[in-house]
Amino acid sequence: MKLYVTDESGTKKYLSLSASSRSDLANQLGSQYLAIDGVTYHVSQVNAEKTGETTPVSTVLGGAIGLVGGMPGVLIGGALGALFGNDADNKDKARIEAFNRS
Amino acid sequence: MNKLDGHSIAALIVVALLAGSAYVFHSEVMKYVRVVLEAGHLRTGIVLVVFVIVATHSIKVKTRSENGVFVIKSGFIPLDVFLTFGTYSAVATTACSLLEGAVIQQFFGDATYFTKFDQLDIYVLLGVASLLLWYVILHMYILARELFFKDSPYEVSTEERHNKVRPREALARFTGRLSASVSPHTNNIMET
Repeated sequence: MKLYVTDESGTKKYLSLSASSRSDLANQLGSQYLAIDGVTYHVSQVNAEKTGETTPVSTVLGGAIGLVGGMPGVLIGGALGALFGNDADNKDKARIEAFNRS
Repeated sequence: MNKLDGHSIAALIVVALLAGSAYVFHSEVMKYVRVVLEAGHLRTGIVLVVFVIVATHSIKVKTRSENGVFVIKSGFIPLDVFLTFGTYSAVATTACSLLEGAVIQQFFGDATYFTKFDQLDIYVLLGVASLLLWYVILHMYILARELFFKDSPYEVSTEERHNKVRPREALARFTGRLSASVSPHTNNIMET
């Protein structure tokens, strides 16, 4: 999950911050406002988005670790990797939605 | 028709290739796996990667919430970095050692690491060690991904600065209103 604000030209400005909600972000900053390149934004203008998909990487990783068990190990590892990766993606999606709703 | 997910297809192809290689070149793959586990390069590599990612992430991505990198949060950053690095590296190195012992005992049979373990125990050990290794590597990947974003430097601001209309914005708004009020037929500026 990555936090960003969108400037007037529509360009996303990413923040080196991590927070579970906008109020958590305000607590971390100690203020409801933050300035980037001289432009001041309210925390309500900060949004969260996904940094990328975890499932494909998790699938490949599971398959690679499963190599220790031969072909069945690769297949089982790949399947479990996909399952756990999908779960991680769903949790990430829930965290993003929770931030954007806050 | 829905757009195909290229990443998932690529992952499927990689897993299929790995499975095919493990089936066709079974003995060679197992020998290579043994070399990798016994040489200790995997262990050293993971410890180095964990250290670099935990340290860089704790410096670059500032957080005090539960979304952060730290497994243990005492509030004193250097201690948190040390404990988090220790936890991840201990899990990874232990998983590598257990995997090494279980693989050699189960698939090669020339050494006995776990004398009182049944076949089922060894398979469970293989699964648990693989899961621990998978967890650490995937978690490092997720943290590393956040480091690749180009962040914009920010500073804390105030409500007054937020509400303040800057001269350039005021000029842009004025010019916008002016051009909107020009009639396309008469080319005259209407009074606003």
